[in-house]
Amino acid sequence: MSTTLVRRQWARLWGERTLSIGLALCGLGLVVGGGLVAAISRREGISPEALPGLIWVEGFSFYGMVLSILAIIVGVLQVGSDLRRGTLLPVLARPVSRARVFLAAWTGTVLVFLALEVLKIALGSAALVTLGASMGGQGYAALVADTLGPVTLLALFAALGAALPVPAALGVGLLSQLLPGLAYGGWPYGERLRPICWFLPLTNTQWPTISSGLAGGGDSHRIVEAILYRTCWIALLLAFGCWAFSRRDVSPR
Amino acid sequence: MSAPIQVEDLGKTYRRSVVALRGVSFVVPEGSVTALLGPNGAGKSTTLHILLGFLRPTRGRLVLNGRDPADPESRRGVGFLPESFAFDGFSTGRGLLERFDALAGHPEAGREERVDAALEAVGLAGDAHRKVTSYSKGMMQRIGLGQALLGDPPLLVLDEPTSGMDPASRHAVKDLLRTRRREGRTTFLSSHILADVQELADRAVILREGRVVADQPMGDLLAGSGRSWIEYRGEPPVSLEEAGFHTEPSGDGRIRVTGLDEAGVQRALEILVSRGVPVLRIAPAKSDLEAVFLRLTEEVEG
Repeated sequence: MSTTLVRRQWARLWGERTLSIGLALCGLGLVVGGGLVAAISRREGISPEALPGLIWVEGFSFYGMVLSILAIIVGVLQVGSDLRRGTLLPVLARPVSRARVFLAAWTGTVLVFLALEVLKIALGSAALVTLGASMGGQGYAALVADTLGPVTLLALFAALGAALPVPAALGVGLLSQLLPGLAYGGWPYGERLRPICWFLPLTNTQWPTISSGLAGGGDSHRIVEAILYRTCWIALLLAFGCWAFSRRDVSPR
Repeated sequence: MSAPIQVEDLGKTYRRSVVALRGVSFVVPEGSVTALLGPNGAGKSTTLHILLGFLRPTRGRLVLNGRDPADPESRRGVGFLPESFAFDGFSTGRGLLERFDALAGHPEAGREERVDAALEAVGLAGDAHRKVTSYSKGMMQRIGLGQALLGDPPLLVLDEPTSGMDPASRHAVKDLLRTRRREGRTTFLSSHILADVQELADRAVILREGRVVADQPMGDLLAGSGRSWIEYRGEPPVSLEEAGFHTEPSGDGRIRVTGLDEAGVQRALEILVSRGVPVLRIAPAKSDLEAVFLRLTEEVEG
């Protein structure tokens, strides 16, 4: 039954233009990133030690941004668009729990994201090997932490989309991600916001740790901490999404 | 006889204090065709949506197949056709039914046969390979009914099942529901097409402003509902109107005495015959669900 729901999510994603456009942009991101890395290394003669940082941080920056935006859009619409179109009621009328419907849809999307990440890692690793550079275990751990970034965003927006109408979910989700900027960015009242940030799933605050890990440096404990932080938040958000979706009135009024 | 659906004191208040149901209670007996009727906004869809677990009641209790509707297992063996729905546009008719057969928890073995049977039942076998987005409104309604019929469920819940269908399809659906009744399978339906309901249902629950105003076997509900009329030619005898009968011209110099129950027919005939007025026709009473429905749903609360 879950496999049927996962396959349904794939078909939905494929049928919706959001994913096709997102995938095209991701492809463009990979091409642009590859070109950027090639141009910089040819012009500046980058050493093999500096190559991982150049490839993973600079080369995939546009791709990472596109994937994050895709996670926000697909996540927030996961339940919302199904409800708006009226395609969810016949599914929920079957002996299948809402938690299963929610988790299967999320899993379907995450598998697409992971396939893209595998492609990214394969391309980056191939570039490293071709250019005579290598990367240690710490770098790969940083890659795992990096991969969990859009997955966390997807869990956050999917959970909010399961609990709230789409505009409200989008607003709350974006606010939660922008709040640290206000709290730590020199805004006069920023300090008052800092305690709130402790209770938010922040995906950007671990980036300095992860990017130094990708560049071959950084503290391995901090990288493991980032992996655990993101994994725990994903689990919590999915649990919240299941709970909220199970309690929500889904009938059109 | 057990009841697959039991509703006790069900209440639902939406946000902004919109009250949809105010203590609704009824039972759908096993093997019956029970109709849920009411004007728009009476609470029919809300009741059906609580039944299927889409909405949570504000008060009261609803039991589906012996379980709370929040439990997905309560929906095992239930086929549902919503009033307003859509299907995933990427599916063909067959693909859609295969997916819903899997979601119904039916085993993979025999899936093709079950899907074929449902497609045949709704007359879409020839269009099964087409994408559902290319279906007309009537075809969408039929594929919706097809997914509800998968595996011949013991309980069928239908919200406006014949809406948008042509007369031939409506006839086929009615035949199908009659067959189910003969086989002892339960159907709970909501419809505005009262002629169909009168023909099919053996029990009716009528809602008005979120309350049950009638919950009876169809025969009891219709008893005495029909009104006869008598047609005669000539001037109306004064005594007829004095006796409180309603008369109206029916053309060609004819007059009709309308709205007569059994005793009324007897009294009006006595008056006419005693005055030597020639009686042309007496139309017998016909049961009329629409008249009952209108009377029950338009009555001012006393």
